Amino acid sequence: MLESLADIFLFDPEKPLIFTRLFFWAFYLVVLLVYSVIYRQRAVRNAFLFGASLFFYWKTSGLFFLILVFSTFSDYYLGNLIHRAKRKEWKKFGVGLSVVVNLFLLSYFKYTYLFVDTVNAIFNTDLEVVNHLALWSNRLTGTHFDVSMILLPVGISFYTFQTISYTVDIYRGKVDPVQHILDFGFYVSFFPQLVAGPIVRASEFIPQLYKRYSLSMEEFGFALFLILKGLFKKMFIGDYIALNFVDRVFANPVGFSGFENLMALFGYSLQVYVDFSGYTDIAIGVALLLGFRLPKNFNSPYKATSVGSFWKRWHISLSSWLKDYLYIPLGGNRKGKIMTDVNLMITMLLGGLWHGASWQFVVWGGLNGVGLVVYKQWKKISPYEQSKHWGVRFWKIFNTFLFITFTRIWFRSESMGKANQLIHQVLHEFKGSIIPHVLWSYRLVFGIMALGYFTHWVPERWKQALINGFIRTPLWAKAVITVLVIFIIYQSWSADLQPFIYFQF
Amino acid sequence: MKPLRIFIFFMAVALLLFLLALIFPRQGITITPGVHLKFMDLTDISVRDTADRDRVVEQIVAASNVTEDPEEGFQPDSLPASDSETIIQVFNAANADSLKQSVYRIRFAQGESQMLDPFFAKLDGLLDGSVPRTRIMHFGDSQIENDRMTALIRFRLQKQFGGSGTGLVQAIPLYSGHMAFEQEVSGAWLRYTFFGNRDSVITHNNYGIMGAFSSVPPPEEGVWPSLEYRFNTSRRTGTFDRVRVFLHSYADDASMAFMVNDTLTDTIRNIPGGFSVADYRHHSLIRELALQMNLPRGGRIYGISFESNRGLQMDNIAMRGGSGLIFSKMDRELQIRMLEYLSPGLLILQYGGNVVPYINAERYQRHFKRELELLKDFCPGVPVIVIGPSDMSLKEKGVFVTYPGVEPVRDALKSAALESGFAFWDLYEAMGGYNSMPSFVHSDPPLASTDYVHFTALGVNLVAEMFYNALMLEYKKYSSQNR
Repeated sequence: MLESLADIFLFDPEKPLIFTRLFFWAFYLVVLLVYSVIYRQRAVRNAFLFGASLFFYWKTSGLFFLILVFSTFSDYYLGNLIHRAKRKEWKKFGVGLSVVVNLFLLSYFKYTYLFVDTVNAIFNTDLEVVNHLALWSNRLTGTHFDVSMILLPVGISFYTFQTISYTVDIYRGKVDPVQHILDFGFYVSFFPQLVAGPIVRASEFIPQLYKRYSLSMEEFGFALFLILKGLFKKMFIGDYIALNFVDRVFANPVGFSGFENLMALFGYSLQVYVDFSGYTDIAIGVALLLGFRLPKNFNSPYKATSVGSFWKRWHISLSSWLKDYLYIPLGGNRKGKIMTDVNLMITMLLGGLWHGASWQFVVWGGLNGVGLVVYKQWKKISPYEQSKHWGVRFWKIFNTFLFITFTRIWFRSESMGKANQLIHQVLHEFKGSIIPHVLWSYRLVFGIMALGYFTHWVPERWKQALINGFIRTPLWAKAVITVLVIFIIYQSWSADLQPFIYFQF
Repeated sequence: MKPLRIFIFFMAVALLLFLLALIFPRQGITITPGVHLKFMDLTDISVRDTADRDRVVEQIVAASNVTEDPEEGFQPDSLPASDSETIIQVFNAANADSLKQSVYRIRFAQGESQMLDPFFAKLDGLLDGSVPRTRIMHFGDSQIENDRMTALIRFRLQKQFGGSGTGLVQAIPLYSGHMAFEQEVSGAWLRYTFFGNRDSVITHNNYGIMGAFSSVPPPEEGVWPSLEYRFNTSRRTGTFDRVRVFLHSYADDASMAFMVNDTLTDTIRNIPGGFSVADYRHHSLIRELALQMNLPRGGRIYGISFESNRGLQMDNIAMRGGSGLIFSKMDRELQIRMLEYLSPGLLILQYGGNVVPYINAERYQRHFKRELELLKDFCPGVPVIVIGPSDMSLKEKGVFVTYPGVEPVRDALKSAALESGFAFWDLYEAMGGYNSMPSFVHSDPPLASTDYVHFTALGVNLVAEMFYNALMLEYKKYSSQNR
């Protein structure tokens, strides 16, 4: 009994509260039950969802929820300071301090190791990371935190960007400060989008804090569809191909032929999409059932006809954040052609680094930046740029997809060495003769990959017809479909492990 | 739609799932031979994940000095001080510092605890100069592919007892990712293996001790086919002063040219038809080497050894898909001749993983013992250490559990080794025993691949370090008794 209670309320790093765990849905049911009693009282509702979100974050990240609380306090009061300040200097000071504090938190937890490793590599030093926050806490309060390592709090990349958008938007006069700190805490920590986005702008979300709950039957159907779609994408497709193929190849590229490496790369291109977009689909659905509208974060990105169009379809909330809070403040396209390209490159390099603290992500961001810059020039001279012919469109989508997949080498590889190994295998150890054998042996994995790409590339009107069909079904049918989808996902989740296959080459 | 209605909807879904779990047959429903439907039953919900020890494993990594590349950033070794149980038990019982000192012991048959002494005497001989060189031949399955496991043990032993070079490599390797060199091939070479899928074109069984050979094409229009190497001379394995090519020419009057750093330094002529060894020595740093072959009617290469004149060599002989049962099936005389040239001081056989899912363990024990007895005949007096399989998981209703075959296969190998008077090191127990593999897979960074069988570079170095510690513990014991 005590063990069960501990399981429910104590933090266990092995059991984070994520959408793919049964425990999350039990938590969500409890939230729904309480919510159904209090949802009419706006202040109580917001305070309750703030509390539920803090519990969610505690279960996901343990004591790191204190950082979230700190961020909430600092940006709430800085927001007020910026709004009330009469003099421009004070407003600038407030927004500057907010940006510095947030970026310091992000850099400290996310980039310290990268910084120390890079310094050690360049200057041949032997510096070691010391967690000064832990040291400070140990000395001050007698805690026993490990000072030799800095762990990354889950979701810090997302909520620091959200709080920056809040203070900057107040500074720009786009939004008024929230009235109560609990409301602000709710905005910063709202659990559906806390750990993996979408990054919600203050100007989009804060007005919803003061609106009454409303959810039409159509919206309910849409939210449920998104949840089921997200679970299917993440668990049926993403988890299966990762476990049974992709992760194995990326863990040891030289153990596999070039063809297997190439297939793993295409597999990863799909996996990263279904994982990430699946997770945000669930987030949007879960939030919508509570009456909150989160922005769309993906729009069939592999249908993009150029790198620029890809970034308007992929992780839209981040791209637009980077545009509004980095690219435009840098000068955007207002300072000449060369500076436009420079600003674009800076944005993409830093955007790459945001995704992960290693130089591979910088390479990935840089390649995407180069893709954007080159395409800008190419479209000026391309005779096919204005063509509406399906063949041209197909060719553009195909090339964009190939380019984005190519950049994934650095996005996925754990080290530069592993990325080089993958490229080497594809170029020098392709082993075309074993292709039929590989295809047959991994038929289930490749079949699921094909299904994933097929469902991605089908025309938008087909998808819309499916959504509309689902929305129109009666409630009992929705319940049966839900059970059926869970049953199908269970088949993939519980499927036997694809055995290791020895290809002789 | 009101929140209460949504809550009721989800409760209805939960109820339907509950009913489905209640009525769905526990063993599942087979639709066709390839399609088997399963669903959870109520007890599954309470099943705990097998990877409960992730944190322990992570701390093991933090506490040990393992790196992906043993030759970089590897700390001087800390010789083991104590005999203790599994790494997990040690960790639970003590603290991380004691882990580095812990070791899972090598087991010997009764009365055979001195079995490794001849090898240790050679190690001592290397130190006092009375023995110029000795060799360890590390045979294994895909768990040791691409110099994994061997690399770390070799590096540490060579640092301590001298020696450099990679030891035996195949002319056309399965992997091109060797850290010691980059290789380019010109000419129509082919690689044949006795293990795995055998090519039916080959009707003989002259594969040599590596269980594989590469066919050398005859010269075409006067151009000799060649193997070109660029060595990474900053590595111990990338430096050497002796090259031995174990070959078989189909005709007399073959020759082999050695181009070192773009200069032709030697040509060995009049190589007779049949088996021979081209032995080349060089006394300055070899950055690039081209081996150009003029075998008039072609031939085979059974292996190329990059080694040092003095010190310890260690070969990595990986047989993908192998289970260690091929020595008795390949040509006996050829293997013996190669072993005479190579003169190993210790053999390590690391197998078992490939038979875990399939074979009758009792039969495997019989067959493996036959191979060990054969190796005893091939190289009399040379000790053998058998290393058993790692933990391997299969997935049962989404939960990873140890294959039922792991322990029987481990027992089979152990019995075969001890009954033959050889030694056995239990990798399965050393890494934590039952259900330890999920912890290795889920640790951050991962120590094993998601096939739940193969270690990652980091994981393999961790277990290699454990084996090295076990070996050195025996050596330390030997040294203290003989001084």
